[in-house]
Amino acid sequence: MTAAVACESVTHVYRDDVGSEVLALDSVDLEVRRGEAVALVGPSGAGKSTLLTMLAGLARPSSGRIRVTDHEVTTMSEGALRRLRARDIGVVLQTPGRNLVPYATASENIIFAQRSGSLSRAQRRAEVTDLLETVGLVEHLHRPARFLSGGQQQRLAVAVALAGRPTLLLADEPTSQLDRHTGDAVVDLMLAAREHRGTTLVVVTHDHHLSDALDAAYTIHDGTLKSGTWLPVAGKEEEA
Amino acid sequence: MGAWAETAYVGPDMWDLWLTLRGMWFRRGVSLAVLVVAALVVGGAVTGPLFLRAAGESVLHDTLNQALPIGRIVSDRMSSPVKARPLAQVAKASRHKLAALPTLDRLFTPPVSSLQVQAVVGRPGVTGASAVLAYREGVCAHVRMVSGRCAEQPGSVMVSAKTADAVGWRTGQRLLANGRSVRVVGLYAPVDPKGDYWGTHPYFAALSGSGVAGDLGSTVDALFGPRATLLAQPGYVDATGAVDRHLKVAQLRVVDVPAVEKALLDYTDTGLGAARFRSVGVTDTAVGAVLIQATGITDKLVLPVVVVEVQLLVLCWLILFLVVANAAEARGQEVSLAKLRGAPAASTVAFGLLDTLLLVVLAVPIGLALAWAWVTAIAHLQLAPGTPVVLTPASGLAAAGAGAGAAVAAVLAASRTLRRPVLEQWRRATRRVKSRPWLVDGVLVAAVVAGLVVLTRHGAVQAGSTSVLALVVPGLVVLAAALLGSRALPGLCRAAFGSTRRNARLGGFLAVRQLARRPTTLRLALILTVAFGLVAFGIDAWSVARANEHDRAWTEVGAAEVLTVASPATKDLGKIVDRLDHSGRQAAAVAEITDYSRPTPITLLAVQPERFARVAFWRSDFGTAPLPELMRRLTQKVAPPVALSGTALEVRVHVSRLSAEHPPVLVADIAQQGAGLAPVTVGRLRPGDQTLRTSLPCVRGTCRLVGLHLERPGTSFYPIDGRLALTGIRVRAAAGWHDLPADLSLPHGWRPTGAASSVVPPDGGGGLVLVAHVGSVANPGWRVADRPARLPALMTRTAHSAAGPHVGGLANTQLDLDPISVGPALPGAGADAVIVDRGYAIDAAHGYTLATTETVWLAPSAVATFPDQLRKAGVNILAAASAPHQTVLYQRQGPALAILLFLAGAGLGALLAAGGVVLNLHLAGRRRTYELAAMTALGVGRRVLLFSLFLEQALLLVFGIGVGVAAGIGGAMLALPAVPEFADTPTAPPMLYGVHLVSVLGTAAGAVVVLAIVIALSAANLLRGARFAQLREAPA
Repeated sequence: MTAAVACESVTHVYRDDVGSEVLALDSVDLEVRRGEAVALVGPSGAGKSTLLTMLAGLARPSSGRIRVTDHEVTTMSEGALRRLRARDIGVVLQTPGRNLVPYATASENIIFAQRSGSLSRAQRRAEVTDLLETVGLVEHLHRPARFLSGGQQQRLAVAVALAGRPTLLLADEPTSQLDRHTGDAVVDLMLAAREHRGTTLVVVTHDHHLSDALDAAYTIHDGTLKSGTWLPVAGKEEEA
Repeated sequence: MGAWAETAYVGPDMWDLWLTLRGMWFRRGVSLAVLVVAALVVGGAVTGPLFLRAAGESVLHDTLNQALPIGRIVSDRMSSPVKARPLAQVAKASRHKLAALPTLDRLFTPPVSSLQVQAVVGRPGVTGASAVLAYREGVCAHVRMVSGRCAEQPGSVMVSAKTADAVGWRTGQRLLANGRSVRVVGLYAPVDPKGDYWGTHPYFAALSGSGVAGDLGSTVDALFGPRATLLAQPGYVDATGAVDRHLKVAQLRVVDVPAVEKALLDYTDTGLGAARFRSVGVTDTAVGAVLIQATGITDKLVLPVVVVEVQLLVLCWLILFLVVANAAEARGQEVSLAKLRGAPAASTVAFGLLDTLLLVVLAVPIGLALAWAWVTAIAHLQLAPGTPVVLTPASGLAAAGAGAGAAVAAVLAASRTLRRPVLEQWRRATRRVKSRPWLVDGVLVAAVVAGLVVLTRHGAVQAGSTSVLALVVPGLVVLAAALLGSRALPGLCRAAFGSTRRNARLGGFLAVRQLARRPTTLRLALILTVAFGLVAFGIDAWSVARANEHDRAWTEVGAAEVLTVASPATKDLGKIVDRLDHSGRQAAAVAEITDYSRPTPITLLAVQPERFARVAFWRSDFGTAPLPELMRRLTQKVAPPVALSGTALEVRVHVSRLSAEHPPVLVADIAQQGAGLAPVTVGRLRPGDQTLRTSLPCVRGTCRLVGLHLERPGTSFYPIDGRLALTGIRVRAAAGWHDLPADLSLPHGWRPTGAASSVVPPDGGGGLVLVAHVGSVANPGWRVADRPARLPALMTRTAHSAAGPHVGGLANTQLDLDPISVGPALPGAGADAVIVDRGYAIDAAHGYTLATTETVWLAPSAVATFPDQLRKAGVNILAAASAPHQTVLYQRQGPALAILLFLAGAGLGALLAAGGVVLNLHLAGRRRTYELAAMTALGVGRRVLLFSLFLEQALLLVFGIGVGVAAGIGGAMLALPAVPEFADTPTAPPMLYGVHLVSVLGTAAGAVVVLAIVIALSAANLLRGARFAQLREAPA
């Protein structure tokens, strides 16, 4: 099995509002194999989300290399990155509303995400229905996203992220604003995607219940990740 | 899957448009705002060409309608003996010429033909009067028959009722005209004697009558008859055939003018076929000259309108940019989502831009319609009645250009959102861009200073380039003030940080910090300042122009309405007015004459002082005191006039000393109404008591004793030295002789007429002592002191410097004046005028005032009714001048219309700017509600938050409006004297440029109050939308 995600000596430095340099990531090496589900854990400000946005091609590191599904994202053009995201990467953000077009219906939000693929109209409709059934929102097919509850919105966000059958799903605190029951449902959805579609999962979380459910968890602290380090979630929390 | 059947599946190709439309509806408030602002930008752009065209039409029609009839008529005339049929000849020639000029054929009425001869007309056996015998096509429709019928049968004529009254002709009477018998079949009165139908033919001499200066009067109007009556005149009699064509003024458009001017040149250059028709014809018209005049006025309007438009458009564009930038920001989340999902670049752009572009496209026709409606309303209120508002290619281009400009604003505003990386969008942290704002400020301030220097050095009203500068400088001044003010605002807010921290009031604390930290604040303050600065300038300029237009019109006319009249012979107009207006507040009789003997003609107005003070227009700078006070001083206490009503005069005199080669002759100077001064010899004087008698020439009524003088008998010359005492004066009337007081016992009842004679005031016993001590030539004289020796007069400065204390009187005799007030202008005569008491002036003319123009000045309340009363009293009204009408005409001149457009544009800009502030609050709502919800969660009271929101917006409003109004007033004070307000340069009254603070500050205060209410409501609405639930969402 080849790596879905590979980071080599990724370092990122940025300037804050007062002009001081901040080391967000410090020589991070990470490899996630295809179909693997890993968690990135660590205290707030450790660099987890920064790493995730770099995996999504939304930011470039100051140095180092990042490969995603055999593509060198650190050197790709913006257009190529856009096409990569459209084809291979699904993203679920922490805030449910931020994942969705508020005035579009549930089905329209999924169509919005799947349109860059090469599916026929019938296939698209079938996928929409399938995804909505999967996330339990088929009865809300024509309901605008803004009228869905927070949990429904986050489930829909997962469905949207999975539209177009991405090979990599990046999720940033997907359950942090959800109750346990709904959070579990969202986790189940992502794991089901891995199960049925072989989707690779990289999840940033503070939720040890979620990280426990994944194959591995990597700790980031002050921008440093110990490559391949497996730590029990409880131990990580203590660290955090 | 059944659920899919309920809705159409929109394919990917239509997906962008579909979602864009959904988004527009989702943000319908913002969409509507963008649509409205974009429509106003387009409307503002289109207003210029639309208004320019409409104003051009208005000026064209006004100029044509105010011209003399010859300015609207083309008249072909040909003179030849009656037997040569001049009318047929000229009609044929005219038709032939017109056939080659379809433009004229289209824009001129069908011809009105006429034929006239000069005839001696009278009853058989009676010496006839000279009169015009005329045929005029369609005359029956233009006269009212007082009796009888319209003359249509061969050999019949109709005469005017005035003529019949004066000459004694009647219906049914047979007259001889150039020896040919004609029968009077009716008496007519012209329906509109000054109407265009009559062309330039002087048919109505009797109607005009005497009364107008220079018109010695005639008593016979034209006799009208059918063509056959004219053709029956002796064949050798000279006749003039004429064909008059009237310009269809209502159908003439600005775009027709060049073609009409060219066609008229061709028409007048082509002769009337003298060789072909044996007669020489002429074409009379001034239409071309009037059109050139109108074009000149319209051309002066172009540059100011363009300058005003550019300023307005820049302001509107900035506001549009602000609005679409906010709208683009509101879509930032969706744009970043599209990028996150890897949507194609075109789709991402569509998300950020398509809705604004769609709204802009939609705004173009709406703006066009709005501008058309707006200009139509202005045209209805301000332009000449019936002025059409025409959509022209220029307005279409302006709409397209404005739409393109709006699209550019949308692209520029959206580009930042579109280019912003996803992470920055999530964090809402835009990279700081290095800028050099003070560089821009410095350049602008330098431009303002340069403009002001040029304006103050060369600020002549008439210079076209200066007028443009005058309209640009206020915009620059307010823009400079806006830039400086908006730069200063954050600093001022930061300066208030400390005090708001110390006084522990959270509302103020939050408000100043919000203002200080948001870049939008700076833009809003700038736009508000510019908009309200231009409004302040516009209101002041408009108010100043309105006041000057009013003052000029009222000064030129003199009162609400001034009627030029011809009063019945032997009747004094002043007495008629006194009889008709007992209140003394409705009308005043004014005699007017112009002294042309000097390089600057000076107009003398002889007024009824008390009435004049109540009727005439007056401005405080016209004189040294209020008009009633000056009018009181115009009339002085004098001796009563000595009326002589009888057939003979007796003078009793005691000559105590007389040294002369021969006994001098005592002569009485007697004035008679309408007849002037008549010297009447009373008798030779000898030493001792004597009673001298003579007959009086007062056949038409009462005479007045002006004075007495001594003459030498024959043509001899010798000194006269004498002392005589007038002991009594008697007049013989029907009841016999009776004594006249003749002011003999009054201390100042008489005065000498020269230095060589004197009067010894009566001491109660021996009568009035007159002393003469003259050389060989002069005649010693004394006159009744029934008027001042020097007439108290109100004078203008130019009249005073040109004429000194002398001016030609009502009979063109020299009047000695005593200037009691000298000012820049006087009502009714402008800058070169003198006003004196009418009674004194008539006395000074000894009743002989034929060469004067008699006028009746009316107060506003008398305009509707007094003319009819005058007509019933036998006063013929020859012309009327209305001050309100003249004011309206000035308001419709090009420069006034440019100022109006400036005000309208500035008002629109202010409305947009104010709307922009409210809209900004609304658009920033989501972000602000998140903050508000957070602060509510922290325990901050809603009332405090409401106050904070209100204070923040109110401070912005007051600052922007305050700085703007101050800058606008400053700009007005500097630039207004150089802004043209009239198509010409008025000589009087002096233009006043004082700041109309009440209008300006009242408008500003009104705007602040209205906006304060709106932002209070908006703030309350915003606060209502701030819920704890929002804290679960990310701040937008």
